Amino acid sequence: MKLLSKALNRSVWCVLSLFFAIAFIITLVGEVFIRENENNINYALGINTYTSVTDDTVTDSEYFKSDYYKSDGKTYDDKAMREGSMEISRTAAADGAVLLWNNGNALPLVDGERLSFFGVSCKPKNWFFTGHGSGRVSVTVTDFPDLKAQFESENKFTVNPTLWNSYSNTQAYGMFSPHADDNHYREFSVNEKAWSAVKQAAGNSFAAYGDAAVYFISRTGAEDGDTWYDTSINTNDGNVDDNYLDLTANEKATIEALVQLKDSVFKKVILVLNTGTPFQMKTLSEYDIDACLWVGMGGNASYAAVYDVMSGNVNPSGRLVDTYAYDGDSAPSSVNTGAFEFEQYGGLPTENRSSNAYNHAYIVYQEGIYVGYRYYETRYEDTVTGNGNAKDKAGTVNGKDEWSYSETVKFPFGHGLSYTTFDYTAFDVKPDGDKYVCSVTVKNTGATAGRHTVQIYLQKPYTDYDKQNGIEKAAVELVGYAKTDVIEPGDSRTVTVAVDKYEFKTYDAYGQKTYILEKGDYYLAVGRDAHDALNNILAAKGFDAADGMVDIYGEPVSGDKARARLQHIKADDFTKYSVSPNGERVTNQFSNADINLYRGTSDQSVTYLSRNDWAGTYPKSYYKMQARNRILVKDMQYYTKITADPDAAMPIYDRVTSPTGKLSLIMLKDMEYDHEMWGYLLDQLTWDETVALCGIGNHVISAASSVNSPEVTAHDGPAGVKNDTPAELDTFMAFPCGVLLASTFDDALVQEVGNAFGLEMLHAGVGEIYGTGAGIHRSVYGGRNWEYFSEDGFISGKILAAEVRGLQSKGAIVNIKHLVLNDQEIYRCGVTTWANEQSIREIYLKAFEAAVTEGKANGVMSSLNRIGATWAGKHKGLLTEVLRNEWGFVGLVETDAATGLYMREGGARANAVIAGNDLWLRGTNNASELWGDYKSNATVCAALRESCHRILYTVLHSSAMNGFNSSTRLVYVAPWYYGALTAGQVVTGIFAFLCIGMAVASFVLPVVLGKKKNKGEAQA
Amino acid sequence: MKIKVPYGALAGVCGVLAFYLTAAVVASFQVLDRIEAETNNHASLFGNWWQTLLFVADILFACGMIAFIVLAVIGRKRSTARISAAVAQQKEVANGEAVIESAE
Repeated sequence: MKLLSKALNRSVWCVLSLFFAIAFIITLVGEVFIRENENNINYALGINTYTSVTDDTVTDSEYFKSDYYKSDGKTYDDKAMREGSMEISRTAAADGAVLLWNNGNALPLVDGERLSFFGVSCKPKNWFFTGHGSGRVSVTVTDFPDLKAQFESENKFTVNPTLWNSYSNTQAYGMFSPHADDNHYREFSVNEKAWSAVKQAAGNSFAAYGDAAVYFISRTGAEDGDTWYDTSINTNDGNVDDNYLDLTANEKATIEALVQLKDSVFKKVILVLNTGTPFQMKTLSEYDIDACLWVGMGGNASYAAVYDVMSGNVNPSGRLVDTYAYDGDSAPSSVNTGAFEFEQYGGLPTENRSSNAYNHAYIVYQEGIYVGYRYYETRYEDTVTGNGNAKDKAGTVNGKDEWSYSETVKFPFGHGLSYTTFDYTAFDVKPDGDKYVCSVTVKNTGATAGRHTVQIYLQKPYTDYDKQNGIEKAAVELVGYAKTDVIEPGDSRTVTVAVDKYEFKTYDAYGQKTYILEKGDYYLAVGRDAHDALNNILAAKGFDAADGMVDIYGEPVSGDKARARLQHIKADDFTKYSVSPNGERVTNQFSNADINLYRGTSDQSVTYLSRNDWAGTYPKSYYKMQARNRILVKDMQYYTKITADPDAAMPIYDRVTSPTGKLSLIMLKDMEYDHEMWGYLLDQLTWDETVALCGIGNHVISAASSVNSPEVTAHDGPAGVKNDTPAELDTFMAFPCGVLLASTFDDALVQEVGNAFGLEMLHAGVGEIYGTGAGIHRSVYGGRNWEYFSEDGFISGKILAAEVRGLQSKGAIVNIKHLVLNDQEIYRCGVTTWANEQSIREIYLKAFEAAVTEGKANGVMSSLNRIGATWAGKHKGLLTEVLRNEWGFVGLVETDAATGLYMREGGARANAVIAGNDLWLRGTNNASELWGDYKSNATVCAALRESCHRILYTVLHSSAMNGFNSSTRLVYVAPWYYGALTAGQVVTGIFAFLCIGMAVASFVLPVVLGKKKNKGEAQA
Repeated sequence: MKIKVPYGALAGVCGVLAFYLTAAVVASFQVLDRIEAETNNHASLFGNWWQTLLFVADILFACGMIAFIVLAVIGRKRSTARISAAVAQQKEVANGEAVIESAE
């Protein structure tokens, strides 16, 4: 009885009942959650839920082959592939490095020199192999020698070991979010070691390693991490101007000390800048540093490339793809860079930052086309020609009363030195069909062999028509370039660069509302950089040093008119370019992003920067904006009413309609996009497959078993392949960052890098990459500048197209990103972005256009921001009219991470899929989000079917189809966690049942037994 | 009549709830952090009102569990002392009766 009493302890059974009942309920409810988030869980656990079964193993179904196989001819040789990646990266990183200055031939280093390395960033933990953010690839530093080992690898140099060891290989730099409520802004700190500590630790060793003091300085940037500096935050670094892109107090002290020790201890001081965005030059330029080498972020090959250039193994031939100004704030875009919110608003969707919906933020591209060198060089020309009040102090940030080029720009776009010198002769331009063929003879006049970059610039006429119609013209625009092979001393090469006449057009947003070709004088010029080319043009126009012309060092110069050629266009032609090469009429598509054209901002107006009056139009402060107009408020809502498409027919689902029987995706491999068989194939898709293909895409393109379309694994780019490694490798490969690739000015080389990148994907089984970046360095403070190529759309486009070609040659789906106007990180999730159509088309879309028309890109990532009030993913003008119709894009458009309410709610998705967005980077399987409310809406369903068409077409022509032939069937394999979940349900259910039973018994049995006992006692 | 409070059972209930609330706090943080990682951010333990509620409730139930355990232990000690005293008293009474009986 006592034992029974103990066994029936009510408290214990009640508590256990509660425990197991809750556990049972959790397993039941958890199943719903797990099924809703299967994609997210699979991504987190690395599970592929489909396997393919192929009966016919004879047919060769390896459509995209590797360049590296083992001796059996079938197995990938991962190690050889990685060596190939390293080799091409090393070449590219070295070819992209830019020698900014080199006084007294301080570089290259001389064999036998003994070196002292300074700076926390000489150690791997503080060297930025890539920038930060989702595009970053985690580098394993044991994959390659560190800087010291690299410099000692050929026994040419010795590195001061005491000094080297005095720098700790622990993370010194800091990256933090100062505004808790705003998770799209970060601050950075460097935490350079104090000079006193460096001297104390290693001062005695300097003399023995005094041939050169090499100081390494690094700066990063990040997704969600603009380097725009909030001066109210103290990072304890003491940066000049509180600007992360200028020297910190300790860096300044170190440089001052090194320069002071020059001659007495160190024979020369060399600076190595490892940054993905222009460093502010005003403080650096105060010091007598002998040489400065910009090396970008070279990925795994960083150290090898730095060594190659500094040792003289490679003669630097990289050229700047951004202007290096004394002060980053001297660019007009900096006035409107930062965090801006509507001053007055009403009726907008609720600001919901925790759900990534920034509905009250805006940014105005008030500078128009004057981004980077287009501003600096145009203003320079106008100071020379006396146009537009160019010398006015508007835009000066150095306290001077007059704007001066040489006090504003330290190094122009295109600048870069070599260990040798090159001379140009016989520059000529000849029309040839749709092109102008520019030729120039380049002679190596120095003593070292090297490559040279030939740059061709165009000046269009700035006409009265332009002034009347709000058209702006930059003084120079890069329109062509070529890179020579290695030219031996004394040798020459005749280099030809074909400039497309298409580059002569201008977008007229307010007059003709299309591209126009204006009459007037056009100049094509060759130059060592943008400034040199402009001086040559000015010389051809009759100006000289007496008019105020200066070279990049501020010295009077008269240019060389023989290096510029006039092309006169006799008459205006407003029709020639009004039809795109794809046969589509070109007209305004972004009027709703122009404050001066959009009806929703008819209560406001903006003055764009104009060379017609620099003084009157240079923005004096950021643009103050309101959001009260009902049209704007309406357009800002997540969902806008769907206009029924009368041509849209309700699709057929889950039915075999093909006369030839059931189709598999692979059977359509050789069929055009518009082939009728696609209709039959799409009829086989179920509704669930349709919404999964379009709507469930968290790092994956979902499989569709009804058509045997495989699951495609996707990862973030653009630095390299993340998360998955090839079978024989357990580390990742980071390729040189976008800026460094662009600085090579070498399309063929970048295509090879793209090819290597594609091989890394192929070997790792990754089919899609979220990259590469093609944003514009609108401001030096852009957090993702390291991922993007340049401040110039032309070279961005050429380099992007080359990389895309390389990647796609290995079957990759490449989501070039972020389309478009996503050039700063602050408030990027939903920020309304305002710009005029000329700047959108000529600056920001140009790179994407080249990637699509020249590179045949098969993927695009729509950006998180709004274009005007409309989210980019549901901007039909952008995704359908421009991207698909004008440019002829054939591929898929995928969102950026769809966490924002404005891009993932069911209504927003319905609008967006009609606009031309195909796929959502989001893993939640929620019927309401996934068009569940539009299941019977023919317009939405027809759009979804077309999106499936695009997605499947893209998958079909990717490496994901390797191994698939007509006999291949796709079989779903339930993830292991479903089995575990069922087991959990059974076990907790049984235990809950037993415990509840015992709990009930603990209440009932004592009563029953007690009654019996009493009865017995009574009877006794 | 004094009601006997089942401190042990209450401690158990609080413990169970604290256990699941802790699991909920951790799980929600992990899930949200995963979601935030898609945009390269990190989640906070207190990013949403319901996370704060879960956390506060978790702390309260954990404190409740500890408090009830303490009360249960104190209660048990008192009970043991009371029983001991009662037993002793019964013994004394029994002994007293015996003395009276023997005197008679």
